[in-house]
Amino acid sequence: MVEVRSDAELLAAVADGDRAALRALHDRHAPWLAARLRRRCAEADVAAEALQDTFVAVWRSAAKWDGSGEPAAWLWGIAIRRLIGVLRTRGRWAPVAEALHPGSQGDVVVAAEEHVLLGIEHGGLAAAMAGLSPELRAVMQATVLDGLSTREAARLLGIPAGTVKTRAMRARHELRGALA
Amino acid sequence: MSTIRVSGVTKRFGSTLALQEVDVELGPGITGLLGPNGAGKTTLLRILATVLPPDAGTVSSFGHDPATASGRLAVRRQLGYLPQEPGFHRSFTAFEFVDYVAILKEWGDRRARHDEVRRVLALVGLEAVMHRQIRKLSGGMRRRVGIAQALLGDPALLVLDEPTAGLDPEQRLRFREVLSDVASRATVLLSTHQTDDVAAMCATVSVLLGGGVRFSGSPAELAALARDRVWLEAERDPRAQLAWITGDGMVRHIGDPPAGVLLVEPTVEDGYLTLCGAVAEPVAAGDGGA
Amino acid sequence: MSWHVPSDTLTRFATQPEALDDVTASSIEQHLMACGDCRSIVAAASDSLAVEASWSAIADVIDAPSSWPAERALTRLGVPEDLSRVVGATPGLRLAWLAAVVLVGVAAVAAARESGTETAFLVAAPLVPLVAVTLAFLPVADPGGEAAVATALHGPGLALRRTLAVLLPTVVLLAVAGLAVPGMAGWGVAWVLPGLGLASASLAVSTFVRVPVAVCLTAVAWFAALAASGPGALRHAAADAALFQPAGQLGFVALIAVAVLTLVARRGRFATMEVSW
Repeated sequence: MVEVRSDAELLAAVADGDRAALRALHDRHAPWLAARLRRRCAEADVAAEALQDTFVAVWRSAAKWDGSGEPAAWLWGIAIRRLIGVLRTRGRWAPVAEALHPGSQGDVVVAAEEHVLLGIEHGGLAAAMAGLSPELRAVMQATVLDGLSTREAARLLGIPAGTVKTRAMRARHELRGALA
Repeated sequence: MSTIRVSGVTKRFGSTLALQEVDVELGPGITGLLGPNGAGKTTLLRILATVLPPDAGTVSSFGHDPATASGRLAVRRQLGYLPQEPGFHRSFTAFEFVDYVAILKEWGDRRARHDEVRRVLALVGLEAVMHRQIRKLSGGMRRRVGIAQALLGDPALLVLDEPTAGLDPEQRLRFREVLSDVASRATVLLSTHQTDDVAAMCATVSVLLGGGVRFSGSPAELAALARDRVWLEAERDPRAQLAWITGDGMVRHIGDPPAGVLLVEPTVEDGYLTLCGAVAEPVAAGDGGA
Repeated sequence: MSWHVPSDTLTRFATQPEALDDVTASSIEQHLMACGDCRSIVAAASDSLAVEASWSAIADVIDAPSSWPAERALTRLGVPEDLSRVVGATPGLRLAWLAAVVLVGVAAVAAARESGTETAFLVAAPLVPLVAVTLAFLPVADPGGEAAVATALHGPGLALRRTLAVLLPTVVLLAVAGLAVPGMAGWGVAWVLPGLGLASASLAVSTFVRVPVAVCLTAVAWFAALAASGPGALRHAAADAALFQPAGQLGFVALIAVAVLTLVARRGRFATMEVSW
């Protein structure tokens, strides 16, 4: 009878040096983290390296989690920053602009009703976001959804910090207009 | 078909003659080396492990002569050795120690080496504590670390000096399982005090006494040395060579049995003790038991 | 959690994340941070080989043994990682030991300044390489213990590398220390050949007797030679002693040559326990 530990319990165990707990955490979270990272960076090996760095960082600093909020969100915070770190080491930025074209990667079509469901999750925001241009949307994703600072977002997207700020302002302006 | 041949090997330390004209032949499977402390077991094992050279005589391991540098290298590449006192560095973890030995065994590629270290530590049941410092491990666990490093690379020759010392019965059983799996592919020589290890694991056994080989054969043949010489009685009989009280209250005797006593099947231990006694006792006129 | 992402959408997210449009994907991503059930579906749909490979790489890093400073220094100098680990294990390279060498050097220098002559330094300095090199053979020097002796890499080659690894920093440190001795000038290098001579001689002798015995014999021989080489050599006039004059230096060259030849001839002993503490 194998008892299933919660993420919080696993993190506490990892802080204690429990290697098996890190493995369990990895098997639970690596898949979705990997997918999310792949959507920020076109190169598979960069994303893979960032993912590995993430769990090494978790091994070393699990004690630093303050216990508040979702462990998964904490993990993502580490992962996205590791991605930025790897990109910086390699002297590159993530060419994400193309990846964010709505429906441009044609073959996967979300069924109409699923689209509706997803729209409900975020209310009108989804439609409003869809109405933004790719560059603006990328900035919104980086700063609002991924929780990055202006400078981190600038590194990730390969644009100057000033540009991040102006685009964020424009995006918010447009969203407010669309949601009004 | 023997893989290891030792012939006429002699080793002296100062004025002490540790080994005298020792001849041993080993083949695939497990051979036990029995003998009291000071009999020369460790010296013989060290010579076979290429850690000490003999003063005289020849050794041939898989056709190589360890007296030459190239022969020694060839033997070492197929060798796993567990010394009686491994001499661990104080602050090493189990993983670090085995990893260090693995480097010396030419595992240059880090990833492959770490996989192998994890494999052997898992074989001896130490994965949970592999990152704990050795000085914080129990005696039995330390022995298992030593066994693990000997298993690196699945060697063709395993030389183990008292591998089960300090292991509890459950660990000894596990060790026997690991060893019998290894023995199907390798030549194993292990020295021990425990005659029941010999009885359980070894296809052949050699008894080393006073620097010389006094017996070489199967455990059953060793036990047979005491055939018709072992009996049980309720009370100690002074005519016996050896007598001791057993767990069920009866006294077990080895020697020339008087008429009418209850003879029992000899164990390997009985045979071994008979041999030790026969060698130790000088033949003196009028002495009982000879 | 009342709402979940449909599982085939999750499967698409797991296997072709870049193919989803970003509004859908952003929704999924936000949801996944809060929903363990949907995360399990993503995990189940992922390529298990890739997950295994990812874990292998991580395990590799977290299992990596801690390294010594000397080992890292050697690696940076371009020595292959595994070699620098076995060479760097030598206690002679540990910082604590280096500090001790510095202390000896400083003490010798201070004594020399006190007495105003180079004697204290010239007497003490050649002993330091001797002691340093023999420290490389301490039982604690090979953290692998007796098991390490029975390995392929254990032998004269490794012993030589360890000796050099200890000798080079020693010589450098002493050279620097020597500059601080008053009036050293040309005598700054007078200790080098004697130092190398003593070190190589004691190594050669340790192929005959145990290392501590070899060290003591060599040290005693050094003091005896000093005392015999001139009146008051040990107390204040070492610089005038014949040992440090050109003829004496040549003598040390000869000693080094003999020691090296002996070592080469008897190098097999470094592969076994015959050279031991």
